[in-house]
Amino acid sequence: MKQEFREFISGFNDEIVDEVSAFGIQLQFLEDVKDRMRIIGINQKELSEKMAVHPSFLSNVFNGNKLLNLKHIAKIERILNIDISLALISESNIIMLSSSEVEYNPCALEAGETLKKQLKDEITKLTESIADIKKDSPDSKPKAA
Amino acid sequence: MLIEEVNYQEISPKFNASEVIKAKFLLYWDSRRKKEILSAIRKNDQRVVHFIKILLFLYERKENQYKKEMYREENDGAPNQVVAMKFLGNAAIFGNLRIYCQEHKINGKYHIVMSRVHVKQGEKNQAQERKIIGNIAKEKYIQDILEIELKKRPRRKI
Repeated sequence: MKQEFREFISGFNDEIVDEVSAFGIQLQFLEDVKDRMRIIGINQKELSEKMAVHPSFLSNVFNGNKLLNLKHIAKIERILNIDISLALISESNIIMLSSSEVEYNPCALEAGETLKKQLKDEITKLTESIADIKKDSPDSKPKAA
Repeated sequence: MLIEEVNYQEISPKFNASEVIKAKFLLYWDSRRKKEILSAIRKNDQRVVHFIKILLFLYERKENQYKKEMYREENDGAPNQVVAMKFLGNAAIFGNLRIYCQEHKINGKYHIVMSRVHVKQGEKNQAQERKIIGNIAKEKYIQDILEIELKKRPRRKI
């Protein structure tokens, strides 16, 4: 979870902040899992059977109400035939789950995209400001005859 | 004006009055149904926590990303700007609650208007839900969004 969002909810108690943070860590991982499930043609019910968990548990995980533990993740790794690892993104101190099936680091890619967008926005704003200054400058106004 | 920007502290005073979240997306509510929306979210602590998770999803979402269990488009294939915030899980806590919204993307930023609270009751009420969704699609919130955005622009000195 990004620091800005953590700051936004910092008035809530630690238990709630941690629960939301854990949900955030799990969020993108589950999207990757769903993609993999689609590829290999397995549905949620079949996955729950193979994991030996109740289907409602998995529904709750996907609904955002329950969290997977590392044993569940290891089962997903085995069933979906992927390599999952915990990675520390040192710059932002985020621990993320990554899978070897994904050929890029989604977190780093996203950070790069965000930075690119921020720079692009800044350039647009600066260009607009320059245009405004030029418009308002006495040189640009038509001189009285 | 039909809508107003959400003041998160009205939902819970524990939210910080930070503007940071607004950099990613802007949330509004339909002023006519604000009380109803507030009461649905604040009904219990778990709903507030679930609402925070939806906010986190919206804060971190990628371009055109939806999550069918939590925040999904509600249309029959034809774009109608209607989305639903879903509160799924323990029925005693979440009550199969939906907050139907209208979503607009303006200059790369999402503007989301919470329009109507609805409790989904099985499959039998699909016709009723379609009617609600159809009504929300007809709301002209976009005009108010643009007006609110215009008011925020700094006025140039003459």
